[in-house]
Amino acid sequence: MIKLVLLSFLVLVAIYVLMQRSTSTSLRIAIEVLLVLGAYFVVAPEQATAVAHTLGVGRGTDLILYTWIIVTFAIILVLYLKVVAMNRTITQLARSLALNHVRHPPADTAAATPAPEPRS
Amino acid sequence: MDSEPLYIVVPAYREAGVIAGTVAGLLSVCPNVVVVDDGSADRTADNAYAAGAVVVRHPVNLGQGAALQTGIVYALEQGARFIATFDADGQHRPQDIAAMLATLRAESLDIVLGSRFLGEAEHLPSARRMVLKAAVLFTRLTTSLKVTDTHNGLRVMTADAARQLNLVQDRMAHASEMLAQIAEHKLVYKEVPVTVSYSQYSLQKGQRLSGAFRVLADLVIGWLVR
Repeated sequence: MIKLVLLSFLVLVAIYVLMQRSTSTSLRIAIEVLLVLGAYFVVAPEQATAVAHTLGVGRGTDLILYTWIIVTFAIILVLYLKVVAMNRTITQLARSLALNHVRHPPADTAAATPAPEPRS
Repeated sequence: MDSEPLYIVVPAYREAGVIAGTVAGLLSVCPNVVVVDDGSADRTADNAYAAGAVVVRHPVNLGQGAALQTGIVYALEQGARFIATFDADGQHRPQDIAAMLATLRAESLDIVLGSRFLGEAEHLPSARRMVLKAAVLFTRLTTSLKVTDTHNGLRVMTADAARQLNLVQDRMAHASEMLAQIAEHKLVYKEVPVTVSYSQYSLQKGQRLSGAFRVLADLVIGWLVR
């Protein structure tokens, strides 16, 4: 039963990833390969243990746990870098907005120099 | 001065109580004072405007680095020939700008940086001094610049130098970023002694040690995103 739930979930994810046109092709292929690998380990969990042994890890479950931790941190880093990039975009937007709403002091206050040109 | 206008850029965030005094002091040495209000919820922008400054206001709070860059872009658009940066909290002396500008012109420099450690640091607590010294050490390790004070808000630069600076570090890492860009573009710089007075107010507004770690993290992330 649990295998059926896991497999149908993996199939849904696979379909979703295939539909992501904006994601690069190489990344989509990499994700699909991982999903197929995951499905294989769901069907044949003893194979995961065999792979784990060759890598010096005790159980297949542990191997998947360690991999999961690494992948999670990678995802967090990528998302954080995206947030930073997005903040830079916001800064540029806010800056151009600010520069289009400049308040100039009345001319007599700045009598020493000609009044600054109003922005177009 | 009219043919070669100087613009003074003052980034300000929640400085409603002191900004008018700072602006008045600056207007006595230069007619072009630009206060960049970094999205303050208080009356910083109104008070700066009433005191006679040009006010550019960020719609949201972005950070001091972003405010400086906005002010520099504005000054360049207005045809500034020289641009000074000045802290809003009143820790600098307006008369230091004239001396720095004179040095800049006399020695054909790109940028003149104020240094409290060459000059006077009045009422600087030792913990704050250690953080600032650590920042100096960091800058000497990561760039070839031999500066004595990396986080001084008082600077005077030419418009050409200002055009080469592009601060993308919105928060407090901009000071290190600016020095890195001075090194990168091989700008000719000089540090001159300036007096920094620490009031109860400016200390309260200043950065704590934890801020230094935030700066370090921002710089590392900045290298990754570039």
